[in-house]
Amino acid sequence: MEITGYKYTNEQDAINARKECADYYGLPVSPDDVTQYWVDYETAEFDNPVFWYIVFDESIEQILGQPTTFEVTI
Amino acid sequence: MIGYGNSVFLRTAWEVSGGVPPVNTVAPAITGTAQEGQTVSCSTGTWTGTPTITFAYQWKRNGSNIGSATNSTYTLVTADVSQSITCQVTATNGSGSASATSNTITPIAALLLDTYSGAAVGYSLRKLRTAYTGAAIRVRRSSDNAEQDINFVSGDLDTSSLLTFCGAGNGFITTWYDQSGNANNATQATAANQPRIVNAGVIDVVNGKPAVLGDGVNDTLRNTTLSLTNPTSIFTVVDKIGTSGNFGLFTASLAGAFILTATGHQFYQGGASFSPTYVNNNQSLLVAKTSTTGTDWELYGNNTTVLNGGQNIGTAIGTSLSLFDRVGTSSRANMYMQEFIVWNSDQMTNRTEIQNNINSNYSIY
Repeated sequence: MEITGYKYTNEQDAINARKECADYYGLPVSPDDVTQYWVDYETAEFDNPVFWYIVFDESIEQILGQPTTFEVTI
Repeated sequence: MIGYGNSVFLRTAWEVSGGVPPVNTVAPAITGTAQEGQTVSCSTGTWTGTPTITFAYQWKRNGSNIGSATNSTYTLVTADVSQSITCQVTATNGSGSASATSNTITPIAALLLDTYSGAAVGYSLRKLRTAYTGAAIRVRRSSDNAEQDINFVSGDLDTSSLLTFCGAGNGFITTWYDQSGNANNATQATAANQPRIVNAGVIDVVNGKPAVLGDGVNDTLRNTTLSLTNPTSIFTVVDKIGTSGNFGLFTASLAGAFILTATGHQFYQGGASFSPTYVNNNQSLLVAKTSTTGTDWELYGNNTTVLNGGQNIGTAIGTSLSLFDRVGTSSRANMYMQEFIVWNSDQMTNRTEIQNNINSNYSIY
């Protein structure tokens, strides 16, 4: 399946990117809020080697830059 | 009778006794929850009179006596729903008696999980259980990402508060609260993955009632503490958008017929043909009883048998729940959901009554 987004070969990089987006949008707004992240990353667990990715959304382009297109086995 | 000169006077009993018969000054009042199954009380009201007054009670339905309902309390029954219920108090003392009638109450029907208790989880945009006093949903608004609980008003979602909170923007579900009493709330901590309930200042609705919309891309609501054991009985009101695709919660083709998660609550059909097309673009009430043997399962759509045993579809059991989702496949439902209730028991003997309750609220078929 072709995905447009941001691909990471290291899970920590995906975690960092997730935090970068959350920080940009000031999440969580309050300590008791459920919402912790703006976007989340997913694991391409059926690919070898495994990688991690964040699906593109216009709202994160200004944070993570230009997305790329890649294949994910689902 | 007393003679005085040539006159004869008749005296009433209270004149003889020196007492005063009862006179009502403040009417009796019914208190309590006017709902089927609830016990309400009737006060005596306020009376004057001597000697000491004793009271008797008679509950009435539309002005007619209710059989043996002669105590100060009365438990409302199905026949009382939407009827006029009053309580007549009769005050008696040694000087006479008098009656007064209370205010009128008009009981509403019992809530679904009051009558059919023991659900493992219950998500809805209407109130399902009287004893549940929490909110319906927690919502994040798009304008500033602030969150707020939205409660019930008169048994339905407080849409006024919801719109006030969201303003002209969008509203997204961060938590769909479990009304079963088990606190199995379904949550989504990622903004981009939160299902929508308000779109540009307008509440998402199906058939005139609020609905939660999954975008079919990444929206899910999850609970990881729910424990399901066979047989489970699942009742849900959904409206799938479009006519193609396989999606979590309910799959129109492939092997999964009713999938809550790919790793836990699988309700596989064993590869047989199965196309519940009425789900597509129509509000539908789906009912499933999962299997203990692999074959004793049941599946209904809008009170019609879809499939009913006869093949090994596996069993449904697990410890997590994901709405709008088929975990592990990236198959997510572009659909509306208004209600999702699971019992960890076989509720098929109650299926018709439960369906009737749901259908009377949503007017699905």
